[in-house]
Amino acid sequence: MSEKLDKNQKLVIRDLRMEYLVREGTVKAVNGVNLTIPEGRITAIVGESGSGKTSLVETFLKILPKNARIRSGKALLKLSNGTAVDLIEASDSLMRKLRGRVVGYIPQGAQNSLNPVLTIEQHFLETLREHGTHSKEAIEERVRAMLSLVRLDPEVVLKKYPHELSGGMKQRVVIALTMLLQPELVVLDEPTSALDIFSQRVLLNILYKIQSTYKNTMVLITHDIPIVSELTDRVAVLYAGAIVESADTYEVFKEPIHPYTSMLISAIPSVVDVYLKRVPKPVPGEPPSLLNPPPGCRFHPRCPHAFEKCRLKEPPTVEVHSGHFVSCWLYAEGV
Amino acid sequence: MTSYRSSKSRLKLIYLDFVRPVILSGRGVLGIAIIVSMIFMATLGPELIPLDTGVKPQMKWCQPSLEHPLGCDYLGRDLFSLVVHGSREVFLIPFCATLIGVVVGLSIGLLAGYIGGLARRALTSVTDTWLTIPSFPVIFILAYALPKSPVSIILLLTLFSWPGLARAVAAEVSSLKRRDYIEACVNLGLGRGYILFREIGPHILPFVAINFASVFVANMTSLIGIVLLGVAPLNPTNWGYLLNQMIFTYKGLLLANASVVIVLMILMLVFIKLGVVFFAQSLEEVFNPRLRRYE
Amino acid sequence: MKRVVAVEKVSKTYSRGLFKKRLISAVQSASLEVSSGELISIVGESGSGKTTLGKLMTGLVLPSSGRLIWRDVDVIKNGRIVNREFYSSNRHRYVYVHQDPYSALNPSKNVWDTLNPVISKYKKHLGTSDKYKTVIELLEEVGLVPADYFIDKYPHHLSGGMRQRLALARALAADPHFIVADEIVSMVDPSIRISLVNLLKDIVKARNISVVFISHDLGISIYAAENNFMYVMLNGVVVEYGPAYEIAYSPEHPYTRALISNTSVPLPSREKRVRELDGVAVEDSKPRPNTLCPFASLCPFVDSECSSFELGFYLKAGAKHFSACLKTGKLPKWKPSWLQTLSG
Repeated sequence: MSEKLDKNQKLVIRDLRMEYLVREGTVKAVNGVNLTIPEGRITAIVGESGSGKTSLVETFLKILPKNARIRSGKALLKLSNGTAVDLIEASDSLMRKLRGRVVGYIPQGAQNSLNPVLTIEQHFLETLREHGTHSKEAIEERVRAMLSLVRLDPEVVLKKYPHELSGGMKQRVVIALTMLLQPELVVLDEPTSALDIFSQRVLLNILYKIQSTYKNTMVLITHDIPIVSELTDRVAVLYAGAIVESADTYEVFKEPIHPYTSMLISAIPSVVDVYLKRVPKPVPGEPPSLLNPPPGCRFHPRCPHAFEKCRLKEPPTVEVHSGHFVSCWLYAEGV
Repeated sequence: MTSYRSSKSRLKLIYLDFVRPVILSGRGVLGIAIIVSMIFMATLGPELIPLDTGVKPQMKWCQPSLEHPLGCDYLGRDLFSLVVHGSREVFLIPFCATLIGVVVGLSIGLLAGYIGGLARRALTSVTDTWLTIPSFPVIFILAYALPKSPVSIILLLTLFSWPGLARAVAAEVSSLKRRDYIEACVNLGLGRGYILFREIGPHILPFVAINFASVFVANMTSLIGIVLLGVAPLNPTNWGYLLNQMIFTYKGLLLANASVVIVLMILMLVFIKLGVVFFAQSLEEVFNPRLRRYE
Repeated sequence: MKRVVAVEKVSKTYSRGLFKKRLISAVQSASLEVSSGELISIVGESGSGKTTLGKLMTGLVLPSSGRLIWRDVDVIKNGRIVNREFYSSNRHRYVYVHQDPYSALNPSKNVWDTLNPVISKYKKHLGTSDKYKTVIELLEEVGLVPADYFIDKYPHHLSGGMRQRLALARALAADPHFIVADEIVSMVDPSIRISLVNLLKDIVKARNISVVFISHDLGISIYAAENNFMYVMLNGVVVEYGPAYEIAYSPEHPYTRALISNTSVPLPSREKRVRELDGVAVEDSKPRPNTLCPFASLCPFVDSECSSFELGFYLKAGAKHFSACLKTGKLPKWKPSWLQTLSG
């Protein structure tokens, strides 16, 4: 398969569908996702619980549990030599080669994935040795470079064991370990969720610095709306297993088009509200069940603009203006 | 369950909450079938099937057939009739022992677990020591020493039936009482009795049910075991006695057709045990609504 | 406006360790009061002592020192219950609602069995059909509608938000004077968090009770308290308190200022978006004085004066606004670092 991707595209996902088999039935976790991750930019995939965001990542990274079935779709990843490989079709051995060196993944709660019986230094040594670096000077240099990137003092951190570090510091160690191999695509799942405000701010700065230094492609999975607007270049909003809106971050926050996006943004309270005299408004209804999703457009039960067609058919994705995609019948009339 | 809904009668609720989960679980059906057969066998069986006492040497070790479902024993008697008549003793003695043991173990466990502190630690030391004693050899020796009556055997078996459950219940109650919803109940002023029996209790019942099943099965095995080894000769229809005669007196394992009969009888024992355990497992779905598949 | 709950200089210390006992202070000399018809907030990161304070106010945890007062009756003094009868017969009026809706409900009890025992205990005279009506009313009050649909559902049938509503219904079934809602929105979807806070506001208004809303999220704490009091906690110490809107606009304590300044805010601006950490001195070689002030190790203004910091001592920053910082009123004028970036 040598399909070629546009020079601005790093990862293109087309009509991806995945389901889990559970005792109550099938959970349609990824339900026709169409998404383009641009190269050299930070993209956020925003979704709440039941949106399927972690499932989506697990699907194209091929780290699904045993009861998962990929039904259809492609995930085309552009490699440094220009060719594209379909991750969905890729063999286990190819995926193993890609993971770590080409695609880095920092799952939720990654701070707990550190080996409790190894010091931080040993963690670095293990990773580097496994991937070919052996000379002592080279190792030391790389390790120091990475730790400074994540603002950790090697003197303080290297000889310690994971349990001696705070959650935020462990998080940064994991990021440094992932960046050791300089992957072209880095996926982070909820990197800020367990952190206090100060650690979050430092982390955002670190991520920004990493991206601008290495010019890699970052994908941030999160439900934290404010950090999305600060850190990312592009946003894709996931609802009930499908992308409902994807566009430039600034555009989405300035003028969100999909009703869910606009209601979601308005539902988040912030200290800024006091300064802007703004009152947050909740999104009505309840998050959707992926076991028995609503028919037609999955957002229709909660949408104030829903009409007959919304209940019957799933809306197609339409490019409302350049680079801004929406999946909503309000914008797909006549299609 | 209260009948708060005018549309559903009390009976229907009992059906939905208790009967249906058991029926829908494959194990439940099998388990119930076996238990029902056991009860039937022990209660009506001896009335319906005459005891075959006639000695028919020509029928010695006859193989299983429609007429003799378990074959014949060393005297040519129909083994099935002997088994049916012996079932009363073989089920009743362990059942009584288990019942008393579970009641004692549950009570002690609930109290010690809920009170916690010194009471629980004392209980744990006692039960832990008790549990390290190998039960069967001790039962064996005591059975030899004690009067050979059903009552003394029951008490003997009870001795080893209660510690396991007491310890498990105490541990479980101790952990459950720390749950947030128990704290909420305490906060809301709901009484200790209510909390122990109505909030914590239902979570213990699966333990009790499964424990009852495994203890019953263990007691049954112990009983048959001590009779098999000749230490407590009770009723001659006692399965242990039958096996004792078949294996030791008549050296049945050296003969092919005799071995078939012996093995068949042992398989029957295994089958009964499985049935009891399966039923207990299906009860888990009754007590833990989360496990129910059909909702 | 009656004073419903008050704590005066309460502290809670735990001792940990087998041989060498370490003392861990969860709460240090906190004082707080709430009146009927008020919804106040306590905001702090995890480990700030806010949960312990919430449990202290509802009598679930005994303080190591200090007083607990319920409706002007002394309940606890110096770590001991002084009015046991009053405490036992009234504790159901001071209800604590847990953060985790998954562990706060008995999984083997459906909605009816969750609410019925509480109703039966405190409204013994009601017959079954009246109890049923009461349950329906409670479910409607918390927004679990259609009520008769929910009545036989088990917790695993309900979403996180629904479970929290059920937990609130259970609290309301006891006819409380006071509810502590401890992080009840943290495990709930962002899009519906506000609706739970709105529910709390409705409950306060309709029943004229008091609610303490605990959270680590500053934005929602301010939204909840509005012009009522908000208490900012750090390492067991209340560092600032006053009307929430006032604190949001003019925070006095350096910690509060840092919290506000470092929040991520939606920026409709394209310029360099990622701001540096503001108001927190991290990699500093400045010698830190020996002091009980919880922010000393990170404070950009700390100096030798701070060693005279006293627990429970506050300086006035406004008519009803107080800060624990000794430099209150002497700090430079402050603006949140994101103020420039807000356009429009």
